Amino acid sequence: MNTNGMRWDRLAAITDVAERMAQQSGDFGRTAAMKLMYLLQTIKGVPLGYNFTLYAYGPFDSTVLDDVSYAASLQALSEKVIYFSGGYGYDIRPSDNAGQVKAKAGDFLKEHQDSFAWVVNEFGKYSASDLELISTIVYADRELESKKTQVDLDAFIARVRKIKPHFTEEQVKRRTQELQKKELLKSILN
Amino acid sequence: MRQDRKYEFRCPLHGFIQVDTWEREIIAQPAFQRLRRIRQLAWTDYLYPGAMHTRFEHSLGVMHVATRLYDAICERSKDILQSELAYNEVGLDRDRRLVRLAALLHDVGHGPFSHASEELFPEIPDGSGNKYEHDIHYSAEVIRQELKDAIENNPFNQANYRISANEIAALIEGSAEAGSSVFWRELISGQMDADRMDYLLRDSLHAGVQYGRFDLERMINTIVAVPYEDRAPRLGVTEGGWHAAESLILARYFMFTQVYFHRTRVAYDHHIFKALQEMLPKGKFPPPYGKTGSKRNLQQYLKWDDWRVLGLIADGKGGEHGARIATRNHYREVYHTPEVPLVEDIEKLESAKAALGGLLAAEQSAGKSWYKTGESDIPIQSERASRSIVPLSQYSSIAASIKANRQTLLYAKPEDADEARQIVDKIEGGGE
Repeated sequence: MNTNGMRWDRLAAITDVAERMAQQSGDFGRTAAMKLMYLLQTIKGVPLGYNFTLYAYGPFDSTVLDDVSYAASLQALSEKVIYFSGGYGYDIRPSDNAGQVKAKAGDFLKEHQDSFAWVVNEFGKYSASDLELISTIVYADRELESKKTQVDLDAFIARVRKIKPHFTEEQVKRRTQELQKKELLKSILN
Repeated sequence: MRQDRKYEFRCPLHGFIQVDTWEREIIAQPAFQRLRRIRQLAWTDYLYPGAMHTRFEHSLGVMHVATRLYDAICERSKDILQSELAYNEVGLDRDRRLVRLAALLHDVGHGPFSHASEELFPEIPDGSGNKYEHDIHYSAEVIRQELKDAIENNPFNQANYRISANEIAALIEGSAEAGSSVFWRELISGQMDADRMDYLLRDSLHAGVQYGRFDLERMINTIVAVPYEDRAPRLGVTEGGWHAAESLILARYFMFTQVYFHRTRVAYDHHIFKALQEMLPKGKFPPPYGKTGSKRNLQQYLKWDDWRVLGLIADGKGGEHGARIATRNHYREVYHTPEVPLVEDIEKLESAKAALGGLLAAEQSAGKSWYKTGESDIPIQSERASRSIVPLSQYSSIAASIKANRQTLLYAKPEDADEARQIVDKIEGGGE
């Protein structure tokens, strides 16, 4: 039940996805939370009400991090910093009050449970780096679609590589073709 | 006219802000001059009488700060910009111009009384339920439509940069069309952006408070592009700057609780929202885009500024809420949750709302505020040979403990306030 400033649906969605990721032992940090929420809203049309815009690290809305932070305050999630070579990340897991928070948006979760299962099955296995690239590909695709523009594969890859020059042409091509095979892209000419 | 001639604006915060002939021409356009007629903090002067500054001076300040940050990053992180983002000197010089203009123009789409009127922006017709936003929609469209000629048909730009209005708009809105320049978007809209660094200091100065002060010089002195092993680089600070980064986070927190989300200021946001709803055709602003590229909607939108609204209020066209603003007879806060309410606090809030019934005049939530307090950790780069990256929250227990503010405030009319407070006091005391 959402009220004026209280989006239980968002908190429940992040908590539900965190639980599913924990069940399949997937890495679930802030980048994964951000990008999976983006894919849920953009591809599956789950009405989370986020307003994603593009940064060098892919689609981003700081409200997602606020929601993760608030869900942690409610003890629906726990979050800790983890380190790896060359950087750091976060480990987000369901916590004691996960059920209580999910119960506040039970109907919403039921209505979209297939979408939550889908996003974890399709994208839960990817690294944060891969999710940055995949979500950027989807963002570039949907932007072209909104302008009723179609481009060939090479032009699309060049467009994505301008945003993500640290990925090779081959890496961008492979991920783009994977998404094409799953029929998730709309702006690339066959 | 010499295109490289410099002009200066005197700024109460930054001293002299320098612009060249091209930038001066853009600033002279009516769509930018309109910002002189939009106050930065709406009716905050009813609490802090000095807070009468406008989006005009703030926009100049953001351009100034963004340039200083940009230059500092280029000086300190040139190796990363070259290796990770493929920049050369020509590319960096061009993007410096692009960032300056994006920073200068990021607010040209603001409605009257700044954020107070944004609830009256229409919904985006894409089924998301989201509303248009002042920067990524209205500012971008003002740049593309109203400022295109001044940007693109300037001889200095044509000879040296060939920067288009579309590129500036793309950087502000976060479009894939920004290409590699999107890296700089963090300077326009991010945890350490020039917008925030300017408004915290400027709002503090004009309001006469110290809450928003932080060490800008140290931030500029330590900001870097931080490499991530196999991911896009992002902005951070070197280890020596973590206290300055901490002070920025604290400044944002204090300004939110003491100024931006002050209960009386928030009451006036509600009154101006209601008064504008009364004045606007169909109770909403026109969308930024017109059918088949028509400019009419945007031009109608740009006619709305503080002067026009003040005139309508003075003429009695703002209804009950316009009259409340005119007579300073604002709603009174009668109940508030903690800043980070737990589930039981939310349940208590619902009980309070139910008990107040018809006495509840308005409800305002921090979660819906444009000003954010939540966390988005700042990367800190070690100054040791390893140059390892650690989040600010690991250095600063204070920054780690600041959570997203989700406070809700309930209001009653002044004449009902005593009765309303008695009702909620019983709930607080467990009386009903």
